[in-house]
Amino acid sequence: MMARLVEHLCSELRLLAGAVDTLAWTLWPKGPPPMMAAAALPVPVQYNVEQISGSLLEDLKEEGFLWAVPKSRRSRERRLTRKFGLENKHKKMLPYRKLLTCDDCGHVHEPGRLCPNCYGENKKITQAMQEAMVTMQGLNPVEYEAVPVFKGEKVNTGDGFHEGKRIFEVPTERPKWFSNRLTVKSNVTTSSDTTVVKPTNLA
Amino acid sequence: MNQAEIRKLIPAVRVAINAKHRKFSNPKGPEGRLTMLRKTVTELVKLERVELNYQRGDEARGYAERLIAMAIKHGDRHIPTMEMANYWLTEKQLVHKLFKVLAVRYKDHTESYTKLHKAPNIYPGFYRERVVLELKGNPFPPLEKKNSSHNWIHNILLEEAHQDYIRKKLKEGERSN
Repeated sequence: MMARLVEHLCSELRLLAGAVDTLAWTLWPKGPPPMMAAAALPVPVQYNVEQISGSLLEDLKEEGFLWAVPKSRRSRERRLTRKFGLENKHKKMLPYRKLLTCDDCGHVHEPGRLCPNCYGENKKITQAMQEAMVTMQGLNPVEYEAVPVFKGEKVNTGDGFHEGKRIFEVPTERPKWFSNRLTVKSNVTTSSDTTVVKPTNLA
Repeated sequence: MNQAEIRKLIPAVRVAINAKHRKFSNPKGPEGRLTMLRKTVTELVKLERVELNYQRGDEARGYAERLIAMAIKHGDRHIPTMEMANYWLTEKQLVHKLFKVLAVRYKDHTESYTKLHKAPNIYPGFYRERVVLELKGNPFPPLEKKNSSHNWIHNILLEEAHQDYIRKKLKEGERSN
């Protein structure tokens, strides 16, 4: 009677300890939960080796299976060949031949992509123009198209080309490859006949 | 049915758009994604040519196209369009530009309003595909030149002149013989 009572008490205490442990783990989690940790502890189990080994091997032979694993060591040569290939056989290191020559500057570029040289030139002038345009527009409502005038250029307002447009002055010179207007002969001249019109006096 | 076709209520976008949007994982979630795209669209309308990563450029392109198409179709006296412009353009001076400059510029266009160029891969680089997104009809120097074609009028004239020259030479040869 006494022994049973003590046993019961012990089991109750164990449960309580487990509950306290779990609570502590949920509040300050460190590592695996205590029950799991207990499960992970190495438990010395004694098997009767002679009894099991024979039957286990037989089981494996008949219905057990093994995962696919390498059967033999892959030699160093074979491994490196698989990795990098042979120079004279498969996986050759070939030069990249999918390149075109730019019609304008002669630099190479990938097909379907802009030429790096031309784009670099273009980017420089574009950035200068954007800066000039943004400073001209400022924070006022943008209501007109913006037209660039480069350094040293004079504007002819007679033909009405700049009507309803705002001029922004770019501090660099106009690049030779960026023609002003291809269809009309020329609007911008360097002669002194035309009057220079500042952007503030326009429109 | 006297109901309007729903697909005609919204102007069609003239560029190919992915069936599913790009998520652009962002710490602020979908709202952060839209903030990012608004920034790009505003930049595009302001500067007219911007260099971006491909994914971002391609995604922002659709929104910019849609905004311009709405501005052309409805004008500035349409409340939803104006709300859309107010949402997408964070710098408010550009709302004027959208209706007074861009809508006028693209009024008679039959193709897309923007162009996406592939930027060169610089070696060695990060190999993120870069693109240049621009509004058509901008004042900057053109990025791609038109390839010469035999259908161009001066090429046709040159070809004819060449043929004439050959015929003339042949006749002279016959006479001398």
